[in-house]
Amino acid sequence: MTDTYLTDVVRQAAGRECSRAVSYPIEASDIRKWALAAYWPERPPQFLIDAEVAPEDFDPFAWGPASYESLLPDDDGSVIVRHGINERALGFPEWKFRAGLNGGMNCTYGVRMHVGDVITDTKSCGEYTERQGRNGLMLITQSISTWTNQRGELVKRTINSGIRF
Amino acid sequence: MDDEAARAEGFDAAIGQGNHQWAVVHRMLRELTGPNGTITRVEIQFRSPNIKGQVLTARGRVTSRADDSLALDIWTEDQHGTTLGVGTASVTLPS
Repeated sequence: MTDTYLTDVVRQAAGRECSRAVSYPIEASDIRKWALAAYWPERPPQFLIDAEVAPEDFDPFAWGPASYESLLPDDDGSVIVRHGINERALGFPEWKFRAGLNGGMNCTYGVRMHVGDVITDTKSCGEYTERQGRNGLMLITQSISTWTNQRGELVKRTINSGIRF
Repeated sequence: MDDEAARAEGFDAAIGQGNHQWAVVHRMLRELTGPNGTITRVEIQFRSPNIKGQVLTARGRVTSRADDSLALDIWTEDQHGTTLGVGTASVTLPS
């Protein structure tokens, strides 16, 4: 049984930038497809069908990024971690968990995304904590995703929390 | 995840992504703001996964108002009224 997950390496990783992805330019059809999926089986509001401005929760990476690069020098590319943090490249221990759950999301929105915008998603490692629960010692993880547009304006900052045990 | 894998983990059926609840919450907030309002912040903790066959509903209660800005408590629930996610949100209504 693990006494603690929070080694020095884990603690010191908080705030470290891990990867960067760049989207294709947003097209009106991307926003329309997103709306159709999000409102299915109902019809989306017309302002999302004819949109020049994307809804706040629109994801320009839903169809894959135009480019992706790891920012970790120890990343040998053997583990593709597009949506999270490459813990192995950060030197984290190779934990064995029985389950992993999405604990929650906390998002602050900035400027809206428009047709033609190119979004950059920079992922960084957040703070890792732990606590005892019904399933033993649980690891609480955070990954931080910061989106900016081609003018460097903040589009949104999302903290994703995970729970593993 | 398919049903079999989910049952092996103790769930009744395949579980959906938290992003599904996230999308339903944003639909609810967008109905409040209309096309010219904005959602400025959303925070939600997932207390229970949404699983196949559930009907998700997002609800909200305005807790404060300052000019055009509203603060809300938000939550998602299944068709039995079981809470799945809880959180807070802020929106700005059109002037």
